[in-house]
Amino acid sequence: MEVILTSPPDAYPSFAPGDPHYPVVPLPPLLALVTMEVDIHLGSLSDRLADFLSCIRSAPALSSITFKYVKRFPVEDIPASGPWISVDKWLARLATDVRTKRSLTVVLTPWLEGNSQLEEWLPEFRKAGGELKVEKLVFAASTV
Amino acid sequence: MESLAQELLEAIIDYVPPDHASSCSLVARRWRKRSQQRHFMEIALSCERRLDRWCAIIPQDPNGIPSYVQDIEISITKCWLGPTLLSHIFKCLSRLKTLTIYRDMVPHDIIVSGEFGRELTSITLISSSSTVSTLMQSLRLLPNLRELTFNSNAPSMFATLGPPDKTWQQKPLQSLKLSWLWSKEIEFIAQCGVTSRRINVSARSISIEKVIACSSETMDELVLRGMWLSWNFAVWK
Repeated sequence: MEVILTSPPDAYPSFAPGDPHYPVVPLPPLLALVTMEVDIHLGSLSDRLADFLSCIRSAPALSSITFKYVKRFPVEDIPASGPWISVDKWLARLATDVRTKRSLTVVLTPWLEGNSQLEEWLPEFRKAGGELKVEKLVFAASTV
Repeated sequence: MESLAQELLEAIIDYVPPDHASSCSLVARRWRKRSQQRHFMEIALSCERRLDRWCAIIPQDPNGIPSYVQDIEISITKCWLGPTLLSHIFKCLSRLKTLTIYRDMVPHDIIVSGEFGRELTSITLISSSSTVSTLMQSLRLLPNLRELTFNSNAPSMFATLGPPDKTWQQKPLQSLKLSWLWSKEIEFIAQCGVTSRRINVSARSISIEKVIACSSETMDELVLRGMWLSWNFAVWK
């Protein structure tokens, strides 16, 4: 049996990179923005999220962005994937923003030993002077 | 115990968890008022039995126990909590600061009349039965509102919205949380010009940039939560 679910018009529309209908609307400079926190679900950064982040063209007071893994941890091939390359370029642009008065720090959390080497992550961003930190996952000691 | 100053006694009672404060109210007459204030500070109307008990309390002294309530959570289906009864309850909650409503309507009429909501600082609306345009008309009239959460507005409320009658004139909110709203509703909120210092967005909608743009000079924290996946909602075979 074939089941087709449809949503009301324009509600949660689906997007794909390169879709000419994707409304990339550049945001005005976010003058007061200091911190950002971004959930990454199921272990991978989506094109949709990467596209949205690219709408932020200027955030001169931004000092910290935390990418937080939810429900699943990153897998080996993530640093080289399309969305991460796009986000790396976006972060590099923010880090080199001449109006930025402080260094920009990116935090990846939680970080599991055995993930890709940290050096493989966000090369353009680090080259632009950005700081990359990880927060390691700490397992509680067993009481058994 | 009798030599203990009333202020000191009340300061001690303030450390008692609200769930245990009802026992304290039975200890002595001097303990009663503060213990009741503590006990009724947060209430939840989540079933018919609780609603009946609450409706029995209100007529006794509307300026007594109902005025102690600062935080209320209403998760009763509207089929047995009619708008008249709901308005009657709200009118007695003169010091309410935090309101959480599941699947029911914001009491627009009594907000407009000025009988409710002057002290409200935080509202959470979960699958509200009110349309976003009605909600925004009400919310504009709450002078102390600082935190606003819209969560999953009911699909039945997905309607064509014209431009808002008036724009948001209040100072920026401390917190604006938007979860699973329809695009037109988010666009309407943006048209109202709501500004906030902290914005928390769950689930992507095509108009979210417009809400963020409204707060470009006030927002110091942006949180993107939930499913920002490239799901195809149009057809799922």
